[in-house]
Formats: sequence, structure tokens, C-alpha cells
Amino acid sequence: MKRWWLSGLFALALVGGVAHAQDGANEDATNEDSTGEPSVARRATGFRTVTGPDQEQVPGGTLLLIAYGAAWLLVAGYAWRLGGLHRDTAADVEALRRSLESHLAAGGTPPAEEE
Amino acid sequence: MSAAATSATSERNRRVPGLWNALALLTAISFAITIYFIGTVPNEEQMGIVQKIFYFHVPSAYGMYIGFTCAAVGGLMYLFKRTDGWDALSLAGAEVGTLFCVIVLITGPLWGRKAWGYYWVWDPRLTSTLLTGIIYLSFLGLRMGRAGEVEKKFAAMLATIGFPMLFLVKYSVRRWAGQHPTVISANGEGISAEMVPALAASFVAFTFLVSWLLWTRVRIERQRQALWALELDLARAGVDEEMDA
Repeated sequence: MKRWWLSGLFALALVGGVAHAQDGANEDATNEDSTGEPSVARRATGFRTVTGPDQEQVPGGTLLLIAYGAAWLLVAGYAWRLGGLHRDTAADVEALRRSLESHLAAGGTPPAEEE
Repeated sequence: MSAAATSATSERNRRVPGLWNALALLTAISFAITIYFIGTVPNEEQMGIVQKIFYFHVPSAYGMYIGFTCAAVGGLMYLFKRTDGWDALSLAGAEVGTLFCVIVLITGPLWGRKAWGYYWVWDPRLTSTLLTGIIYLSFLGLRMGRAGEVEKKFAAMLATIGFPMLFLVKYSVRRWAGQHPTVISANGEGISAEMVPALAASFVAFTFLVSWLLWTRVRIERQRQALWALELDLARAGVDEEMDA
């Protein structure tokens, strides 16, 4: 007797599940897509490429991180370049000044005072 | 420039003024405040978090305008006065303006990918910004390495000719419409009150950053000019041969 009850409940659950799934499928079949045709019917009869941009989900957070990261990297890179340029120039000026001093100390002609 | 004057210029440029340090500190503090505001401001209702690119994109465009204006003013004055100081301002303005132009042209398309569905469109403002960037990039191409008088004059003319393009960038949206947003223009609907502190702080931070970069670049260029003048003086004195030996 207990087995009959269990079989009955199983059958009811199965029928209920299938009926519910069928309702969902009917609903999908009657939904219209952008072309005005039912989605399921159109998918069953042909494939078409999208017109215009894809309807995918674009990750806004990733784009934001890339944008801010790129901006910071560019500014930091430029500041780094300025630092290098400054160091190189200062070193060259110092080397030239030393050369001039040693030239003058050796009794060389002083550079012209006027342009 | 005499050796003594060159030495004095070099010495002056080597000293780091207190105001320069103060400006660097102000830039760092203002960016910390800006990032706090950007982090706490609510997302835009339709675009979501990607709209926050706006807080760097628009002030970068403002930085681009400042840089290119300095390049044009320096270039024009150099054509009249032929002094190294104006040439240094022109070069610094072109470099800083191009830096922020590149930032604008990177951050804008990343926003467009989410808002429009694609990175680039040949919209009047996007196209005119790209063209302006190319003009000043040509300027920098001319000024690579040690530029002679001809390169300096030609670059100064290029900087001056490129200046009207800034007005084209500014008014292209009004004149030819296009897709680019006009949120904070006369025709726009503005931004929510909660967004104002983040945008205002970002403008302040970018003003400090642009000023600091321009000042630094001008100082370095003045130092390089002093170096080249000193080399010329030494060549006249016959020191070059001794150095080569």
C-alpha cells in the first residue's frame, strides 16, 4: 500500500513538472523577438547575424579600471621620462663645467663673454 | 649666452623652488581627495559604474586645452621674439597637451564601448580631437633631439596653426551635432548634484597636475638650452678637442 502512495506522488510530481515546463516552452514560443516573430519559431527556421551592436553584457567595471589604469600609467611614464631627462641634462652640464674649469686651469682661452 | 650667464642659468634651474615642491604636494593631495569623491559618488542610473570615466575624461580634455594653448602662445611668441623661454613653453605645452590628448582618446572609447556599443565612431568631436592630436604629434616629431632654428620656427608655426583646431573640437558638437555627449554644455541637462564634488575636485587636481608638469618640462628645457649654450661656448674656446682627446 505504501508503495502505491509513493508511486502516485512520483507520478503527480512528474506530470506537474512536465506540465510546468510545457507552460514555459509555450510562453517562450509566443514571445516575440526584435523581428516580430516568435523567438522559438525563428530560431527553428534560420540563423541571422545581429544588425548593430551585440546585445552582450559589457563589463563596465573592467572598462573603468582599464581607463583609470591607462591614465595613471601615461602620467607616471611621462613623469618618469621628465626625471630621466632632468638627470641626464644635469649630469651633462656638470661634466661640461668641469671640462671648462680644467681648460681654464691649464691656461686655456676663456670662452667668449658675448654671443 | 656667455659662459657666466650659462652657468647662472644652469645653477638657477638646478635649484628646486619651494613653490614647485608645494605644487607637487598639492597635486598629490588633490588627487587623493578626487579619488575619494569618485569612489563615494553613486553610479549613473543607466550606464552604471563606467560613467565614472567621465571624472577623468573631461578634466583630461581640459588639460589638453591648457597644454595646446601654451604650445600655441609659446610658438607665436617665439616667432616674434625668438627667445629660448618661449620655445621652451611651446615645447612643454605640446608635450603635456599631447599626453592629455592621448588620455582623452583612450578613456573616451572605453566609455563608448559600454555606452554606444563600440569603441570609435567618426563623430565630429572625436575626429577633430584626433586631428588636433596628430598636429601636435607632428610638432613633437619635429622637435625630437636637438632642434635647429629651422625646426624650431617650423614647429612654432605648426603649434600656432593647430590652435584654431581647439575651437573646432569645442564647437564641433554644437555645429554638427554627432554622438558625443553634451552634458555640461549649454544644451545639456547637467549632472546630478552628488556628482558635482567629484568633478570639481578632479578639475582642481588636473589643474595642479598640468601646471606642475608644464613647469617641470619648461625648467628641464631651459636647462637643456643652457647646456647647449655652454657646449657652444666651450667649442669656441677650443675645449671640444681637449674633451674628445
